[in-house]
Amino acid sequence: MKLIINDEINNLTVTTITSLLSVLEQPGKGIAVAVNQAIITRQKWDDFQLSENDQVTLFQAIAGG
Amino acid sequence: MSFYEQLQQLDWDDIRLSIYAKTAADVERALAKSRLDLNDFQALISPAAEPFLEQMAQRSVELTRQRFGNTVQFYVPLYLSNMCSNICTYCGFSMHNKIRRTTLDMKQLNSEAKAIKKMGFDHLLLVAGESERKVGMPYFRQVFNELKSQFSHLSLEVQPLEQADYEELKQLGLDSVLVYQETYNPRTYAEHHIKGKKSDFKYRIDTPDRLGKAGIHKMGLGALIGLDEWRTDCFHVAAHLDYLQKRYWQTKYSISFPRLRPCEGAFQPKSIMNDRQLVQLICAYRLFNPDVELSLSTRESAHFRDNVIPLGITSISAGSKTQPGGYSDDTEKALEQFEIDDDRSPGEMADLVKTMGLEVVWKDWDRSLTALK
Amino acid sequence: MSVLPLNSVLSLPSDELIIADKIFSSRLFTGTGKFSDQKIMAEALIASQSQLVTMALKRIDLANQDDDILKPLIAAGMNLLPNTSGARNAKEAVYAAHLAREALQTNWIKLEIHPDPKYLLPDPIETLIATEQLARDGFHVLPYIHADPVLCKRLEAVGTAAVMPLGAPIGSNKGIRTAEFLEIIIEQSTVPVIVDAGLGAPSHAALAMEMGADAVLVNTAIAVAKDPVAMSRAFALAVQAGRQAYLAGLGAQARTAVASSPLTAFLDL
Repeated sequence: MKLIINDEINNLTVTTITSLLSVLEQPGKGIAVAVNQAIITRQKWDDFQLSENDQVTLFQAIAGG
Repeated sequence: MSFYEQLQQLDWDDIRLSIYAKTAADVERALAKSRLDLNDFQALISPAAEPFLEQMAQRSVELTRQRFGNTVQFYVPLYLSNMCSNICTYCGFSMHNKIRRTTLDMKQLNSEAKAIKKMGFDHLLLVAGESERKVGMPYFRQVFNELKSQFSHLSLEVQPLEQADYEELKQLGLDSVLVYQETYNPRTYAEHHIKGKKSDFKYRIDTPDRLGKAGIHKMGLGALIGLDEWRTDCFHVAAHLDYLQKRYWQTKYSISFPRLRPCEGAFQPKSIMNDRQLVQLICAYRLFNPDVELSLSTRESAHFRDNVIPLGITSISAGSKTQPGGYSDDTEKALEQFEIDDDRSPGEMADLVKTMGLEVVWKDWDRSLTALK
Repeated sequence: MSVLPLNSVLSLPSDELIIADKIFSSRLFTGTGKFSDQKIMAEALIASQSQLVTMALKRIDLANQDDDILKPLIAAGMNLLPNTSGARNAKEAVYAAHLAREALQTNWIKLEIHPDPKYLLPDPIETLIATEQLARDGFHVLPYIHADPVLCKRLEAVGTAAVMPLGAPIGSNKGIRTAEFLEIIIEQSTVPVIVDAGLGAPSHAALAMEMGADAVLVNTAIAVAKDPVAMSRAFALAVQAGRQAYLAGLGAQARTAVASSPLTAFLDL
């Protein structure tokens, strides 16, 4: 499935956010996920079904004022 | 936390002791500061500050002129009614006093207004006893409808009202409300407010919050000096002001410091405040809060007023009658709330104030902007 | 005018700072930006004894994974205060705040909206709009603002948890340039006042605390010091000293009374 993750096009065989994070080797802790600019809370990560051409944005806390 | 809730955490005697424990060093520190806190205020009203009175007065004059310029506002009370459903030990209007009761009808109100306009006043303070039934919202609506176009500033000193009532009266022309707590000591309050709605200490002390929420332009606070130990009571006034200013920052504030005078009830004050102490208090309020309006009534003697007005006072009454109908007909002295001391006419007072180098402000307010909807 | 709560007039308060649902014993808040490396950052922040540290939220760079900066800070007992830096208007800031809440599982947000990339000065109008929205969404909002007393009251009215007025432009190290206005804010505020931005030296932080600020936030001055760890200790001491001086009641500069005819002589008649 074609997904745009943080502006990069990726072809991944994933269905849910949980599976996406696992493929990307992201720990999940300290991360926020938005799909098409709508924030998906972590309670919904297991159930939320990604679709073709979805824009996924992953955020994390970093150092900064 | 509301001021009432804060008050419940404080002990009256602790505050009194804390004021009396202040030293000359505390006073000197307060005098040197440009922003005073409640601790400093305690020092300035303490016995330890008495030797510093001249310094306090000098500073008070400096701050008052800096903030208010060389001006004094003139206002006059119009007594609407001496009906009252409260029994209060110190008040001439108290229900148990056998005096003739009267409430101005609209015709009488207009002749009072006419007599007052003739004296030159444009700021009017409407006063009444607390009689919800006879002198309640329906009556106030009528009064404001009659007077709104005749005066540029209308103040009200009647029973505490609900927030919605204040909001409504504001639309009808109400500019400011005076509601004195009389005493901040709940026990003393209960001793003096024996019967009637006024015996509800909490409802009264919450009134300035209702005024603030209703967006009333200005409110007046004060303790009736003599009911309880004056330093402690006046400290509470300052603390109340401090609380209110933080919350209702768009509101203006004024403070009065009426000393109990002989009246119908023949009540004897518990605490006597002498002239020197009243000057100390006035200066302390000014140093604590350079922006607050300080008001001095005709309860005080001519000699005292002549000397104190320049020290920090920003508004005075003159030619006052404290009985309903007194301006158009001054024969019925028996109806009055208290005897005034300074009975000079507004014209005489205005001339005198000019010799002090101060300009009389008859009108400092115009509703043309606030009338915008 | 009083800056002390009424009950502190009588009893010495246990000098803790309460903001929203948290209690702080340290009044030095710190930032995580501009450190040369993360190890020094963690050491410096721990040395500061700060209990609240700010951090930013960025998109993950999937190619170059950063180290986990949170772990040592959380281990040291610090609370995290994500900010909305990068937001140029209320809408972006609200979105950033919700992302931060999701990422860090905290309702706390330092609201920063600066449309101006040069001085990073905060936009008061957008900040007010965003504060109102976020407070409604259940956030504890700490907005970074100009030292504007009226704006502070407007923010209180919409439910801000604290205000963070600036001492000088962010990162400028110029100290307390807004003193007159900070004094008014401190005098009037019913919420904690945290002086943020511009504090370039421990003496600046001490001055803010002496004025009665509830806390200060320092980042650049610690991060870019030759020895950030030692500098953060210096700031911690300065904040304590300033706070204690404030509580102790500073003696003010002497004012000479104006010699003129006595105003109170009439009382002796």
